Formats: sequence, C-alpha cells, structure tokens
Amino acid sequence: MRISTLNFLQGPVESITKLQGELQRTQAQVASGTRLISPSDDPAAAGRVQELERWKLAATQQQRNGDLLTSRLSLQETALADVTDILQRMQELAVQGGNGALESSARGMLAVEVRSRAEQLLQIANRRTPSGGHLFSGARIATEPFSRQSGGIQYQGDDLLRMVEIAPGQRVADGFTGSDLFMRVPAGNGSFSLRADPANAGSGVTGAGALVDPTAWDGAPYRVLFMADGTWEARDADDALVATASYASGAAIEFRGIRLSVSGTPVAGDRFHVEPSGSEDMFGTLERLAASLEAPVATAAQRAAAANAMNALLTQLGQAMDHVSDARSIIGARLTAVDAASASRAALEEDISTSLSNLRDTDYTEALTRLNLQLTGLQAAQQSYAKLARLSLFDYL
Amino acid sequence: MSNLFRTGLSGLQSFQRALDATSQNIANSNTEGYVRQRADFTTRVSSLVGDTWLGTGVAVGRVRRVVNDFLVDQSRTAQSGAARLDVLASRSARVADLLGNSTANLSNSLQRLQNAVDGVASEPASIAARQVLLGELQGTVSQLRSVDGRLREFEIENEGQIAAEVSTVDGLASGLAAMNREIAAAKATPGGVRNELLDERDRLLDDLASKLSVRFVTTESGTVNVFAGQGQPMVLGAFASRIGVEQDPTDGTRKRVVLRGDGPSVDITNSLAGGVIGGLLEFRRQVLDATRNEIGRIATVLATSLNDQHARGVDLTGAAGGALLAVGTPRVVAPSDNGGTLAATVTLVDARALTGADYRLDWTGSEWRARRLDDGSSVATSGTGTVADPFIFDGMAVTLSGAAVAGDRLVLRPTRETVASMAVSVGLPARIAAASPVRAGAAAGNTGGATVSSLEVLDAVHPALRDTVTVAFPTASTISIDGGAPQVWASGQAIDVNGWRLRIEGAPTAGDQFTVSSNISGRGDNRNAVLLSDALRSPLLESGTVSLADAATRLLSGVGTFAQQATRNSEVQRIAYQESTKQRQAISGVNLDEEAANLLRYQQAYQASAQVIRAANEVFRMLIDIVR
Repeated sequence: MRISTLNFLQGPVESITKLQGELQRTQAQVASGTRLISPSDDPAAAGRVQELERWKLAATQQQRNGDLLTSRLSLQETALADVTDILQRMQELAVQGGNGALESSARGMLAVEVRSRAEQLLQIANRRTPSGGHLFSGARIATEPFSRQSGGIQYQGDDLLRMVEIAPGQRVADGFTGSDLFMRVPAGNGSFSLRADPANAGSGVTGAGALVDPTAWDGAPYRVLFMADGTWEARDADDALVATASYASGAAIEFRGIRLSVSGTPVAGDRFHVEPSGSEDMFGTLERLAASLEAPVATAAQRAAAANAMNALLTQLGQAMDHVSDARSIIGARLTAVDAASASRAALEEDISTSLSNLRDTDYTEALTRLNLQLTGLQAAQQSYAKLARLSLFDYL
Repeated sequence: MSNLFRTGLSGLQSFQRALDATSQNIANSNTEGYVRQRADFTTRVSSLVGDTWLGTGVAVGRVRRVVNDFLVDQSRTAQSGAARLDVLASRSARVADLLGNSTANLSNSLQRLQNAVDGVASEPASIAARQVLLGELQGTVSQLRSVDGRLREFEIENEGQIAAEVSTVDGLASGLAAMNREIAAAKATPGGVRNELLDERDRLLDDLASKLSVRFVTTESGTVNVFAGQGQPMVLGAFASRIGVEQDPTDGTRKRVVLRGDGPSVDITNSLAGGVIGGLLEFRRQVLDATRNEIGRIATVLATSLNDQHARGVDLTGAAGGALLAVGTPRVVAPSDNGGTLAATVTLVDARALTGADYRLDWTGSEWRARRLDDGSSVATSGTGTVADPFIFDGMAVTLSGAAVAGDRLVLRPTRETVASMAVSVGLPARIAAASPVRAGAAAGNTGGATVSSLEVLDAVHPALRDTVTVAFPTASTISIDGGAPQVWASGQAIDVNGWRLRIEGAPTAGDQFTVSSNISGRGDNRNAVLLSDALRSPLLESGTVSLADAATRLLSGVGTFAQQATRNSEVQRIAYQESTKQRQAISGVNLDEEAANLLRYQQAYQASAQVIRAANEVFRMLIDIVR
C-alpha cells in the first residue's frame, strides 16, 4: 500500500502523544495515590465510593450517639444504684421497726433516718446531667421533676423518652422518665394489696398474701370481716358474701384465687381490705414508713397495726427494689446493645475501609509496573521515530 | 528527420512538465489539504510517412489531482463523528468531575446534613447541635447552589461556543458558495479549473464536516451543494443560506440555530447532528439539562419534605416550626411566538412525583396534549386546566389563563430553575423544631398495663391541635374522649382527635386515663427531629425507591457512565477517523521517496529525450557533410 510521507511521520507522533497521555495518567495515579482520577474513569466505582463514604460518615454520627447514650444511661444507672442502696437500708429499718419489742423512742430514731434518706432519694430523683438538664424529667429537662407539695411529692416532668439511633434502623431509648421509675411502683404484691382497717381493735396481723389462681382472680376490691362467732367472711364491694369459714390463727383464707393469712386474735368487726394493685410512688412509701414508725405502740391493737403496716411496707419496698432492678437490667441491656452496635460497626468499618481502598486507592505494584512498561514503550517509540524520520531517498541522490 | 526532432522535443517538454508536477508535490508535501498531482502522459497521434504510420512522441494531457471521492466522504463522516464525541466526552467528563469531587459533593453534604439532624435528635436541647444543623443546612444549600452555578457557567460557555461555531459555519458556507461560483466560471475556460481551487474547496468542506454533519452533492457543473440537518439546503451552487443563532422563544438563556433563506427562518436546532455543533447541542440536551433538572429535583424534594415535617414540630420557644429551606418554584414559559395570550401558573402538588423531565403542553385547537421533552413520550393528565380543576400530572398542578390559538404551547421546567434561589429560612438555632407540639401522658393513678405507643401529628395547622384532651377508659375496652360517649377500643387502635393520632397499647383497667396536651417546655423532646431524620433518609424519589443521597450518587454514576461511554466511543471514532484519513492520504498524500524516484525517472527520461535530439542533430550534420 502507498503511504504518504506526512502520514508516515505523523502516525508515530500520534502514538507518542497517546503514550504520553497514558504515562501522565499513571504518574498522576502514583503521585496522588488515587486510582480514580476522574469519576468517568470508573463511574460504577465512583458511585460505590460515595455510598461507602456516606456509610462511614453515618457511622461517625452513630458512634457519637452511642457514646452519648452510654454516658446518659450510665448516669441513670449510677443514680439507680444509689436508689437501691437507700431501699435496702429502708428494708433493714422496716425489719427493725417490725420488731414488737421496740419502744416508741427507738422507733422514732428509725423514723428520723427514714426521713433523711427520703430527702436523699428526692435529691437523687432531681439529679442533673453534666450538660445541665435533669436526669429524670422526661423531655422537660429544664424543669425540676420532683417537688414537695401538700399532697406529697409531685412529678412535673413528662412521659416522653428520647429515641437515639445507634445503628442503621436501631433506635434505643436514652433512659427512663421519673414518672416511670419513682411514681409508678406497683403496689402490694403486684396483684393486690392488703390493708388492715385503721379501726381494728384486735391483734390480727396479716402478711402480703399471694395470688394462687390467676383465672379465678377478678381484680375487684374485697374485704375480709371477722365475726363474733369466730368465722371470717369475704365480701365484695356490693357487700355480697363471697366466702366464709371459721378462723384459725395463721390458717389460709382463700377466695377468688387469692390466699392470705391472719395471725393473732382479731376481734369481731375487725376487717382487712383486699385492693387490686395500683401503683404507689416511692416517696409515698417512705413517707408511710416514717409515719408508721412514728405511730405509738402502746396498746396491742396499736402493735398489731404497726406490725400490719410494717408487713405491707416490706412488701412495698420489695416491689420498689424489683422495680428499680428491672429498670437497671433494662439499662444494662441497652448499654450492651450500644456496645454490640459499636463492635459490629467497628468490624464493618474495617471491611468498608478495605473496600474503599480497593475501589479508590492505587495499587502501587501494578501502577509502577505499568509505569515502567509505558516508559519503555514511549522510549522505544521515540527512538524508532528518530530513526524512521531520518530515512529519505533524497539522502542518496 | 524533423520527426525525430519533434519526437525528442515532445519528450523534453512532457518530462519537464512531469518534473514540474513532481517539484510541486515536493514543495507541498507539508501543505495541509494538498492533493498530490500527477502528469498523465499520452502518446501523440502518429503521422503517415509514405506507407507507414510513424509515432510523433508524447504529450502531457493535463496535470491531474489524485483523489478518491469515496474515501474523502468516508473521512468526513468519520471526522464529524469524532468531533461530536470529543466534545461530548470532554464536556461530560467535566460535569462528572464536578459532581464527583472527592471532598465537596452532594452525597457527602446530604449525609452530613443527615448526621446533623441525628445530632439534634440525640441532643435536642443542645444549642451547639442545633448550630451544627444550621451549618449543614447552609452547607447543603451552598453545595447545591455551587453545583448548579457551575452547570450554569458550563451552559453559558456552551451557548457562547454554539454561537461562535455557527458563525464559523456561516462563513464556511458563504466561502463555499463563492468557491462554487469561481469553479463554475473556470470550467468554461481553456485551462479548466485550477487544482488549488479544488484543494481549497475540499479544505472548506473538511472544516464544515468537523463543525457539523452535512451532506454534499457534486453537480454536473462541478459545484458542490451542501445540505444540513434533515436536508435543509445550506449551499446551492453559488448561493448560501445564512445560518445563525437567535434567542429561543421558550428560554431566555438559550439560543437556537436557524437557517435564513428567502422565506422565514427555519429552526434547525433539533435536526443538527454530528460535528462540534452536534456535540455541543447534544451535551446541552443530554447532560446539562438533565443534570440541572435532577439537581433541581433533589433540591425541591429535599426542601419540601424537610419543610413539611419541620412544620409539624415546635421549636425551643414552643412556636410551631416554619419552613427550614426556601426553594424556587416550577417555571412555566409561554413562548413569545405563541399566537394567543395563553399563560399558566404551576404549583407543586407532590414533590415526590416529580420526574426531572421538562414538559410541553400543546393546544391542538380542540384539546391539550402534554408530553415529556426528554423522551417525547406523552403524559396522561387529569383535570381541565381551570382553577377549580387544574391539570394534574407528575406532581404538578397547572392552571391555564388567557386564550390559546391552535398551535400555541407552554413549556414547563418544573425543577431546573429551583436551585438558584435556594436558601436556609431558619436563622436561629432555637427555631429548629425538634419537638412535637403535643405530648401524651398516663395519669398517675392508672392501674392497668396500657401505655402510649405513639402520638403523631397529622394536621400541623389544626386550630385545636394543642388543646388538652383526656382519653379515659370507662371500661377496659372502651374509650371516652373528653368525657364524651364511650367508643369501642382495641389495643393499638388509632385515636384521631384535633389533628393528632394517638395509639395506646396494652391492657388498661377501667378508670385509667391518658392525657394529650400541648408540649410546653419540652426542650428535651426529640420526636420531630427523629421524624426529620427519617424523612431525610426515606426513599422519596421514583415512587419511593430512591433516597436523596442515592439520587445524588445515581446522578454521578449516570453522568460518569455517559462520559465514559462518550470517551470510549470517541476513541473508537478517532481511530476510524485516523484510519480513513490514512487511506485518503494513501491516495492523495505526497510520498517524498516516491517523488525522489519520480524525479530520477523523469530526469533520466529528460536526458534521454535530449540525447534523441542530439542524435537527430548528428544524423542531420552527417547528411550535410555528405553533401559538402
């Protein structure tokens, strides 16, 4: 085939230019450490890089959220540990107070400690976070959640919980509200509570009672009356007779799926109220404990009333302990969840960094090999061009 | 004897011409567009001497250009293609670079915004977290605006280049017409057409082919007619139509390419293809417009969905949240060349249904037809275009006004011009509405196990939204709202009152109560921030399949792939062009070695012819000597 001189000389120049372009690209990849100089080099990789970088950015926020959550949950956990200590001390005091031999003055001493501990409990419930908000006021963080008012301690916070994202699609509440923790302790044994009538004149003392047949229990209020003929009668709110039997001290009294026992000697007309469990606030429980300890124990009836009150209060303090320890275990579970999320994020982060590096970073071995090849190619092209360009028939004329 | 002289002389003259042609070739071996010339030798007519025909030597018919028209056409086609793809590849790569900037890109900005919203959600009372959110809102808006601004700069540059290239083409066309006139005139002269005239015309045609894809037809008279686009004549013999740009009546920032002949000017913008101009127009249509529309769509959907959710919350001062972001509205243009007084307003009905396309509404005289401008597909609309019953399609409502005559049209650009006026509307950190306007709480004396599972705001502007409402349980399976008549209730059932929806789950006991009330001093409430975060993250586009950040990445991948394809095709096309140029050069280019050989050949033949004359001279002298 015929070839024009212009082409003959221009062709190799074009190849050299092209090689130089490739060489410049490789050099840029080596110098910058980035394989993707322009997104159009590898659009799929460029898109994937953006996605992975978004993931990494999101992970930093989730890590921050996790840290914040850990610190807030830990604050609540510490507070609840303090509450547990107080409740334990209260149980001890209630046990001591239940001792029938204790004189009024000794009981008075116990009451003083109860009141000071109650004040301490109030301070814990009003604790603040380092950032200045209140720990147990729900969303009303600027409002002091608990204050003493005429009807006892009142809650001024709300029932709102903050949900914080710790992993994609996983949100965890950052604690408990004060109303949940301090104001809604289940009363009695969880199903019902027993209360001795204040007008009782005998020495009948009851314990906590138990639910034995949940299907028969209807959650309605009842009262157990002691009759002159030595029997007891269980009556409902409409005064209808539910059950009756003769009384023996310490023997089980059973009706509607519940069991309770009364020991001592009730007199005719004494009565015990069975009330469905509502809830009681912790401050109220402590207030009752103090009040019971301050009540005189001169007569047998007063002693029985005090024993009944201490029994009920021990049950109630037990409920409060359970309530707090439930909350603590939930907080523990949430802290575990934060840790788990953090661990899996760390593992994933490593994978993602590897993927990102594979997508984006220059493979130096490959790039330098390529650089050398291209250099050799360019040199060869330049040398051969220099030789070719000198060839001319005119030289021989 | 005289025959011998004449024959020798004819050789001398012919080879001298051949040497002239060779030296011309050597001299022009580096002239662009030069076509090598060759002297064609023919045997002269013999003369009858006695009873035999004797040869009378050689003649050079004419010095001819060596050219193959088929290869020339082929190389011009390849050149148009290569020029078009070069423009497309380099320009769209610039757009991809802009979108895929490794530090400042939209995907990154959106994720940082998401993080900032999550930051407020985890610390709703923190002014610092709110400040960060304001900063990131501003950052995202700046990113959107800067990308859009750069795209507009590209557009201005593109428009400028289109105008410049079109004016070059106009010059080439009139040059060709002049050339045609000269060639037609020269045809009649004894020497015929000068070779360099034809070379020059070929050069003009090559230049034209690099600017735009045209069709050439060579006529009997040697002139070349040129047709552009779909057969619109640009050059007919000695006459050239004026080609130029004028304002696009549907877009103040756009130019369209028109052909001005004897009649009214014809818009040929959409029929132009190939060459630099074809590439520029295609880049404008396929990359610039589509990218700006998509950026606008992301901005519009971002702003409307954030604003919508933000309005459902309350800020630290307890006031209802206003708009977070301001964004431009869909644009509708009644082209200046409409016959009637037609005008229209467009409002956004559902930003999520936006497509990123532009639209055209045509009045046929009896009905309205809507179609997309990107793929030309027709769009089904509902409504009649009146205020009471606007046309509704693809998330927009169009209300017409004025009178239309048949052939009138409207051009809708729903998203392209929304970014330029985008701004952050909230100035103070405290004004970010992270909280919900209402709260629900259980009464302290509740004995049942029922809890509030959710409370959401359905109607942020309900007048009684923040009134206190008590939901009581007269029995375990009925509710009474504010002491009203008991209604049957089941766990988890939606209770809709005053623009909010409450759900209570679990087993209440008779007498339990829940209260929904205004969220006063709920500084630590993050419910609306959580919903804002969800709104930002959720797949808002393409009927709920693509999130905003995904859309940003998809845009990058789309433009990147387009650029990559164009680059690959452009490499292929450039090779094809080089190949065809090589072939064309193989026929028409000068090879110096060949010319050197020719030089020797013709020189030797010249010397030999001179020897013939010398021989004749000697023979003649011998004859004279005999006589003397």
